[in-house]
Amino acid sequence: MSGSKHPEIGLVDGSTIASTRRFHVVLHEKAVTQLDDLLVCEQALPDGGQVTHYGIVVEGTGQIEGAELPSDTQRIAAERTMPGVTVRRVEVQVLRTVPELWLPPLPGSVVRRVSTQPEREAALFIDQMVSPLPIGVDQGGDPVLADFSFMNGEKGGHVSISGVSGVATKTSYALFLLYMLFETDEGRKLLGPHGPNTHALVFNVKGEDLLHIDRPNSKFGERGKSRSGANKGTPDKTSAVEQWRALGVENPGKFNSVALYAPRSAGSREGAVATDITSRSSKDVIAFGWPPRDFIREGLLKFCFVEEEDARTQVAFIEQRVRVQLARWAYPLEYEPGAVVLCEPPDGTSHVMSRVLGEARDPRPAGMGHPVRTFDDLLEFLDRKLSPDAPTFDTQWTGGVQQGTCLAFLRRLYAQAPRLGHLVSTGVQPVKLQKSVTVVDIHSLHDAAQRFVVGALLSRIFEEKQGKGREPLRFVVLDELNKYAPKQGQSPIKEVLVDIAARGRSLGVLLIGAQQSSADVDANITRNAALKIVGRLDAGEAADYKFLTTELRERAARFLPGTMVVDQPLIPAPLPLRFPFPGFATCVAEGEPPAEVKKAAAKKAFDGL
Amino acid sequence: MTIFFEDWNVSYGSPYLIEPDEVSEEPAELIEDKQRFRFHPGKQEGEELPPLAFVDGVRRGEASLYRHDPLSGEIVHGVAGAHARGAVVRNGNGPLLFKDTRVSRLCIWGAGQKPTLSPTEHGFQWESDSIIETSPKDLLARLHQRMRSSEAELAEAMGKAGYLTVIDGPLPYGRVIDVPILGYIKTHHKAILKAEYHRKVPSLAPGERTSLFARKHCFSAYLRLAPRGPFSGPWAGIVRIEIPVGAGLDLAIREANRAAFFLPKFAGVAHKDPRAPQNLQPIGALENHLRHLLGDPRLAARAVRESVAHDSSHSPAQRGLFR
Repeated sequence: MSGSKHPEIGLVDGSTIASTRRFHVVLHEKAVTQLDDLLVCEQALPDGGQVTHYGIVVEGTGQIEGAELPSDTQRIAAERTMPGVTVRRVEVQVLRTVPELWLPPLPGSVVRRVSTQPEREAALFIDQMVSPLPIGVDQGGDPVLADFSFMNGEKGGHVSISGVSGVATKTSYALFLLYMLFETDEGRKLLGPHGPNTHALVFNVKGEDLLHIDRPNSKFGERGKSRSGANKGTPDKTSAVEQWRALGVENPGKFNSVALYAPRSAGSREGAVATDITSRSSKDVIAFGWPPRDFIREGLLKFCFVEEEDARTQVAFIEQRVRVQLARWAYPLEYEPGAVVLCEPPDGTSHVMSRVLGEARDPRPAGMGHPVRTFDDLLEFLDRKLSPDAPTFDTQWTGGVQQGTCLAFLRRLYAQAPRLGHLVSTGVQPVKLQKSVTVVDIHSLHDAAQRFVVGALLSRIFEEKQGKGREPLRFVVLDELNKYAPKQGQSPIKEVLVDIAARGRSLGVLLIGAQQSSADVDANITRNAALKIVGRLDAGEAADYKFLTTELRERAARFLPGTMVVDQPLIPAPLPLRFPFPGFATCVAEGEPPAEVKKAAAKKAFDGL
Repeated sequence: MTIFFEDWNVSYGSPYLIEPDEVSEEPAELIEDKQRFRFHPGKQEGEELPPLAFVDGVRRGEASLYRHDPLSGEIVHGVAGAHARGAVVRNGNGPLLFKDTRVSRLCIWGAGQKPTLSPTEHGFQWESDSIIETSPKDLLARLHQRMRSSEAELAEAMGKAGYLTVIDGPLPYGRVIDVPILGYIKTHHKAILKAEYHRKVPSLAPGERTSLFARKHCFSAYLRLAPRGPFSGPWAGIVRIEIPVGAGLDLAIREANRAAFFLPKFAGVAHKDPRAPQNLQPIGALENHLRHLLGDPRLAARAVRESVAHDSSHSPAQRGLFR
């Protein structure tokens, strides 16, 4: 970026109205200005003061003055029998007025391109940002910044990313944000002394893609280079290397602190612990699940009933009763960590969950009651207690609901067994946030199981942070938010998510949520997001994004992958941006070493024989 | 007898205004082709045409003024108005561009009087001019005359700068012009040629011209711009050109051939121009452009009003009158 001011590119159009929000610029013959360019216009006020308008180009138009009919164009431009004056204009949305005077730009004033760093900082409110974080590059290859204090809960929190799947690159952008935070100097500086204890939980919902982010991207070499074939010597600002450089990252690469979790395989035999992951070796991936003891103590039974209809029936009531009863009855099973034995507690044991959990309980041998090592063990026990025609039917467990409700409860629990039963077993590891980024794979799970995992993990993170202050922060990246917190209906997961959206800011639990259409997600969640990001939109849904300008709504319907629009509280206009091709692998293919490396390794192995 | 349809819009009248029994004072003398009446196809005359220039002007009365002498009761008329002139030029096969456009504002008074109007703060200012006559019609005629004179000045300058220059209307009378600029006349008021030649003019083919004839201070010829429509009158699409005698006959022939070659290419388009095809496309566009440059007529009238009001409030005599 040069230090000298650019020459003028045109004048504020006087043939149309210039307002405090928008104006047009008639371009000089030689000026080239495109969408998203930043412009500046200064005017001297009648009272001797000076006011400067900064704006962003939102539309460009051209016209031949003197052409009254379409066919005149042919006469003017091709046959050259009629004169005409070609004029080009751009429409500018005002970003900022310095000083903050609510005045329109003066028609006829000279307009220049924003060129110097101070001008750019003023135009994009960078001078007002407490803790600027680069979140992408603009059309010209210069960094676009966001105030981290609107991401970390200080002034605002939560990020909402919308866009159609496939081309909107929502997850990629979420990971890019995490990379900027966890793996760059700038990001670490913003996280401060709490940095090492700051954790992100990323749910992987598509393929095994995110299970490779701890590897360098083998395609970065070719994609990082110049794509437009710019002249040698002048850096090509569209190349990934240059884009990363603009963001202050010299050597983009993998995520360095990652834990990978995948669900215990549904096909596992009892006692066996393995995952279904094929693209990573079993030693790289931890099989996660919940030992029965954790399942009971964390009250996860409620996340087994997350269907829309569950909330409207008495099933929720009996579930609550059973949840407490299980906690009362559960004793650690001797010599088998994670397993419990269910036996009647002494009279006077509290029915309040927190009190029960506070009791110190010694392990008991299996013979003292009903040992539970798997979900099926639990199911068998509950079947005995809740089947109305069984001799062991126990009204203590039913909470006095109708027999039909007991049956409905059991029926639903039985239905969940093949979907999520395998996640509850001894031997599995609970998900622990110890590395910077923890990826939890749920892509192969049934919908119900996905909801169970998301609900269980989110509620635990939220519980853990209660009363412990904002920092260190917890970021949660969750795609398909519409599935967990839909606009309509109630469910325990939605409650957790709405709670995070509302109170997570002060507790330092920050949601980076993604969805195809923000209109499908509960408004409490989208409304609370300080940073709104939009990728390619479905043309039919673009109208729902009120924060976009009309032009951007239309443009967003044809965005290419890698182009997003960001709306942030400080800047009164949405800014289009791009983010660079990642240095970490975002799919199986990118995680593999390049062909020549593999070949060399194979040759070496062969030669070694 | 056949009935024809006049192609010009009725509000513009007819380009053919020659009365059937009108006798020309003295039929023009043929001076080319050994005094025989011939048709010549247009020719480029050389490899490439020089740069072209079409010159035209517009005028507009913007406010009527009176000067009243309270002692004698005498009233003198004045008119405030504006005229603009400019050119459309083309170099080689390049685009047509507006060039050297200029707007002048005048305040013309009758009876030899010449008071001035103060300029307004919005940039309106008037040059004063005076005529002997007193009728508003004569005042407007003076405005027209000033416009024509400004056009002629530009046309001569363009001609001298090497442009093949076409000026809309007859060549200015009473000026000595020695560059080959072309006068371009759309309307035929008089039969200039002998009746036997005059009768033949409509049979010109598009892009053909007649032999040159002498006409006052210039050489002249008829030429046809465009084919006649099925119901158009015989004289539809026929214009007359003028070339100053100072150019000399040889040069005049060359210019006439060139005119018949290139003018038809610029013929006006019927669905756009009420005076097509005679009103050339560059001229039509130039007129629109110049009229636009004159500015909003309401704004101009307001400026005159402001100026008059300003001058009155500053004139001791007027102040005395209002007291």
